[in-house]
Amino acid sequence: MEIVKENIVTVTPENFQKEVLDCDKPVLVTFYANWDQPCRMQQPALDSIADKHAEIKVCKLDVEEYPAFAQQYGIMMIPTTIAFKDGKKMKRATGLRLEPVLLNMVK
Amino acid sequence: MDILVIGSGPAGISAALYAKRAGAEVTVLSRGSGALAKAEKIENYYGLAEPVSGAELEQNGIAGAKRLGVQFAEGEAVGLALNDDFTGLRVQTPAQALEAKAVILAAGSTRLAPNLPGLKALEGKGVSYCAICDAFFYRKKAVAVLGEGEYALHEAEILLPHASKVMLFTNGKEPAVTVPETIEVHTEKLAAVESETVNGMERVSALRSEDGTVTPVQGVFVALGTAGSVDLARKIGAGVENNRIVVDAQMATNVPGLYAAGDCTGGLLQVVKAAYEGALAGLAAAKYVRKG
Repeated sequence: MEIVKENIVTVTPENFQKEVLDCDKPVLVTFYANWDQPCRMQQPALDSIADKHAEIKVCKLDVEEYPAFAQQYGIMMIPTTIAFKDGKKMKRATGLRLEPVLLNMVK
Repeated sequence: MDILVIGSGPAGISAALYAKRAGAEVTVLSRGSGALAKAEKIENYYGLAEPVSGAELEQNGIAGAKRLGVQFAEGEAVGLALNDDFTGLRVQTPAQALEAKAVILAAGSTRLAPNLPGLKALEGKGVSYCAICDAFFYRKKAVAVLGEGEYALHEAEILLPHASKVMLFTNGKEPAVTVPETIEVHTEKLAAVESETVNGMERVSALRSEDGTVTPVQGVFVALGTAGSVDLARKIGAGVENNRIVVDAQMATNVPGLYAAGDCTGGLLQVVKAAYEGALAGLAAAKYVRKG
């Protein structure tokens, strides 16, 4: 079961620069895997932010597909969400985080 | 079964009573006494003409629930997950897997947060609280599990097929379980979790013992004592903030069918609060089960 919705951008090592680092909006990137239950449970919060907050870009990156890239970002726990602003890492949250906590990361 | 309650303290028993009264089939999974039994005297609770011991109050609660037809099972919950077809929840004990349409976490709060330098700071950088979630990152790497009981052994066994080496660090305790030879046991007291910085990224590199021994590891999985409500919540993806399970006004977590009550949701560590939350959770879970 693919858990990425339309208004959530699936990012890869190829489009990471364009979609995340060059984005003029604050970006939340969640590093996830489809089989992981906490990652599945993280999804409703991401969907809700993507639906309600056009000013925030919500992205997901599959660590199983891109393990080396995830390693570059020091991902050792899923889900891990990193907030980016103007191409810079701002905040990082490990483990499942509910909507208010995620929103707080890009405030 | 309809509802499985994990924990037989005031929150768990109240949850079981209200759910049972609401018509649900309820089983309480109990591993013996909890925080209440350690309270010498309870004298600030409604209806007590004379103080009673925590142990007595707890035993009375269990006896009352049994009288009303609540089922009891002995065992320690070491895992919590959705079942295979996502229609309910599955609780793992060392002896069996129990499936229920709804689960109420009422196993208290873990008071075992180890005061080991580096552990908190390295969370997500090699320190993990969930083997099944994060084993993936430790393929062919050496990992340590901190703990000494069934819970630690369960986590270690999940890691075995992935890691190059799994070590159990009991931090000065004797292992309370029989550990298979494939898992190396270290009983010395620990001094710190050490880290290294690779490409600007800090990560776990070793465990240092009080005797000065440094054991290189790339992952440290925390599984001390028994799995508390918060540990179980983390495994299934229920929201946890500041070591408390996040619940709504009906004690529901973000996971459908999963409720939490008592010490594990924070606030007053009091019988009266645990009993109230248990009642709410029991009613909400019974309603959830009825709706199917």
